Amino acid sequence: MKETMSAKERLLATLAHQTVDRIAVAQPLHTGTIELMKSSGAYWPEVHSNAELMATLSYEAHRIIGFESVRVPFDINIEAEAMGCTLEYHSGRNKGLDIQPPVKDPAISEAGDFSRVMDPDPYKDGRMPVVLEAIKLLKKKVADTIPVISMVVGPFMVAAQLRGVEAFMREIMRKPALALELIEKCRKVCVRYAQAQVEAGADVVVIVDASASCDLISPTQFDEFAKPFSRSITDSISVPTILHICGKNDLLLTRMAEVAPGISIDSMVDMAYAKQTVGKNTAMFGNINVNGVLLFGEPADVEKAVIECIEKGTDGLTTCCGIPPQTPTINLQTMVQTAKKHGFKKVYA
Amino acid sequence: MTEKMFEELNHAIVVGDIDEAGRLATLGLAENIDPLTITEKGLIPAMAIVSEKYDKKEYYLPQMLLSSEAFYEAFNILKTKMKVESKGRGKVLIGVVEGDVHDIGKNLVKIVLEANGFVCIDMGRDVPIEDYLQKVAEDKPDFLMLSTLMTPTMMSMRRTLEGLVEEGLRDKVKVAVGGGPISWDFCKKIGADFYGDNEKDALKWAVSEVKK
Repeated sequence: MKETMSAKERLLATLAHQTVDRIAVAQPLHTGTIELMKSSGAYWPEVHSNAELMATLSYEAHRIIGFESVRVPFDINIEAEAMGCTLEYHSGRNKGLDIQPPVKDPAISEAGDFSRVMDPDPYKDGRMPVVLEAIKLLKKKVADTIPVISMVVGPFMVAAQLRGVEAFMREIMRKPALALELIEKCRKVCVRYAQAQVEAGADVVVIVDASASCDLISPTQFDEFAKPFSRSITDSISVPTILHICGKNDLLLTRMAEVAPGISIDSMVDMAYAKQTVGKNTAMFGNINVNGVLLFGEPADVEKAVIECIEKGTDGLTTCCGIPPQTPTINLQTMVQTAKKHGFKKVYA
Repeated sequence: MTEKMFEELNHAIVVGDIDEAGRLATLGLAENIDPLTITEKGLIPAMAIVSEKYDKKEYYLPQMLLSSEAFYEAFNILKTKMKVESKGRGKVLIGVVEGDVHDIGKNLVKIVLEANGFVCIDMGRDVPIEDYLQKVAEDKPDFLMLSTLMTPTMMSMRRTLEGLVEEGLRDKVKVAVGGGPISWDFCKKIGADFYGDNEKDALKWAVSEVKK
């Protein structure tokens, strides 16, 4: 069994639902671990605001772990911050080393008060230019055979960040028109930002829409408040997208497949069920359990989980969520090596 | 007349009608009905229905939040007339661990516990370990319930348990843990007493523990 495609060809062919030599081992979710921060010298939270450091830490995951991709950024609040939220960069005991900066102060404190909601220019405002610059640096740093993956947060989730999740959940019930107005504002920003990422060189754009999860909203609410808006990102850019939503989303799979050519799922969803549900016209990515297996497990547990996931039919072997910063390198290396070794089975079985 | 009012109050809470829930609670007090009776017959059945709908995926978080708003609207009106501060069925110290600001799950647990007669001291979110230890020592709760949604902050849950042991407080309080990444395995590993997947689990456990 031999590789006949480059990493980039493989990922793009997977997302075009074409035949590949083996499954993709590109990582659509963040890769910032403390061990990688130490070996590269690029630490959170400084990484979040510095293009050079962001590219360095991203590259380290490719170099040390062996992911067949590089991926930026490392937090999920860039859009919300550029639109008016205040973040806490040094939260927790380790002052932001192992925690993504959470929202400290949402931009909207009263229903319908959009006075503090900004309409950012991705080339100028907030940390969006940092990410664009990091993409450009990575393009120069890695061979053209390695895909550069960037991420944009889904419009529904950005709206929830701007309003505060709980208040926003009430608003979609009590004041749906206001909620939709806000989501539309976010959609415009997300589309512009995603387009700028592609212009900077992103080969694939991941849409993370964690709040649009069945753990929070119903499938009907997903159809009304999330799906058309994230779909609009896919429709507005020239590269393929992957949609990631955390949680137990069995009921959302076919709907997620309407948003993007690839979907990435949490470990709570059974991969075999997911693959059977969406069929061959959607590429499945997932879903190695980040806490039970990767963070607290041994390499042997990782190997077993990876083989099982491949046998269940995943098209891209990835983690089920962003990688917890304390995750040992050896487990991640085992994940990638096992996937590369056993990923051929899919084709030759 | 009263039975019908209880029925209406339950309905108002199930559909999340804040104004109606408040109006009926006030009306009940005006008719000199014991606030505890109103809570038992007019509020608790409603939250049981809401919780069941949530389990069956008829209700999702937005509907649940509206119902809990209506619940608190009525409950806070009734509380003003309740005989002061009994311990209820048990005292619960509840909060999200240090480093995590996701408190929706914790709030759901608190609502269900309060609706069922437990007294909750809500520590809020991103609470330093020391604050939990101090509060356990001072307020002597029967239960400590800790929540986190994020994987990195699971470590801070572990350190809270270690802190209880170091301070000699561990056998003074029963500890439950919960939240997205938490499991029974993790619960046992860090020496907590109970892991709950949802608010119903937490309630069932607390009720069975106070009966012991």
